[in-house]
Amino acid sequence: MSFAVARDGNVARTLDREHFERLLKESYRQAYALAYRLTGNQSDAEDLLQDATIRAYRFFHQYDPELPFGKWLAKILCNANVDRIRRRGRLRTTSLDQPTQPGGPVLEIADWEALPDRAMVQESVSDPLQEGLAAVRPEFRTAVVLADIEGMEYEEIAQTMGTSVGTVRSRIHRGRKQLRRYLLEKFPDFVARMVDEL
Amino acid sequence: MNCRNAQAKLSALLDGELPGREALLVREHLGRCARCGEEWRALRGLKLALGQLPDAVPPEGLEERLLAAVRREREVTRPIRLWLPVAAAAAAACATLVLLNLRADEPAVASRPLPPVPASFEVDRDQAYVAASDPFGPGPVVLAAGYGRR
Ligand SMILES: [Zn+2]
Repeated sequence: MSFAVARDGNVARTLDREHFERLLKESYRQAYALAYRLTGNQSDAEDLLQDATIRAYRFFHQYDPELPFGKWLAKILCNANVDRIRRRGRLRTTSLDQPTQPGGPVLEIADWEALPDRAMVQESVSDPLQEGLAAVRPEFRTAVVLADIEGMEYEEIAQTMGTSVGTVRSRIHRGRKQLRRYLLEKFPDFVARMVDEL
Repeated sequence: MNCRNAQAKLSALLDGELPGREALLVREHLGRCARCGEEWRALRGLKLALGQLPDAVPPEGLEERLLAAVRREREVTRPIRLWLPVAAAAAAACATLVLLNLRADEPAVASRPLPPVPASFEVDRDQAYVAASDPFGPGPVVLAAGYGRR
């Protein structure tokens, strides 16, 4: 390797790092807001965002500047979150996306009772919606958060979550149903207000 | 359209993700079914409420901590990366051999000039590094133990 190549490489890496830091400064607030909705508390949100930031930095040379950096970071963040949950052993590997049986919603009730992110539920006492989100299956929660809080279209969510539009549709539907069921049980007054506001 | 079909499509309708004809059928059903109409209003209220949640405010000093993590990451990866050209050169040599073999089996293209060996090892090195991990894959990126000692 010639010195010229080595030197140019170093310059390129420095420029890359500066570019990355500039984009990060522009995007980290929104990424943090997403991380907070996915994890439900400040310290997990920060850990998650830090994990995603480092992954993004390592793979910055794969970043396509045509796309908003924030969307790219959001995608990495969602994937990092799935890994985080998996590491904690809370993500069960049963067939999550099978259509609901005509028989009824028994499976879904069992799902959120078996799965809630306990720490997340306990730390989000002030906000029924945040607590409700914590009780929703992680993949369903992610899909709902991306649709309703990040305002993404299904196609975009599918890309972000690395799945099909059909799966996104099913996850959002089931996520909202789980959330609603939880809120109805725990915060009936809140649910009544939510509908009345329309 | 029956209640079960309609209810399965409420979320997609709510998100404007239902094709026109289907949307029309669901709306028709909602117009004449009180139970599904109630479900529809509930889901709409839920979506609206989620959309109105305020953005969580980052904790004090988060930006600095993130930037520091990036710089730490850079320090950690540098010594490993110095060794990658060796691996990259080996990979390039293998690729060339494979290429030569392929070409030998294919007389029609054998006369074409071989693509030039990449001028910059930086590219190969980064590609070798990329091959070692995936940002969307599971877990933190870890290079195999002893990678740098080979
Ligand atoms: Zn109906």
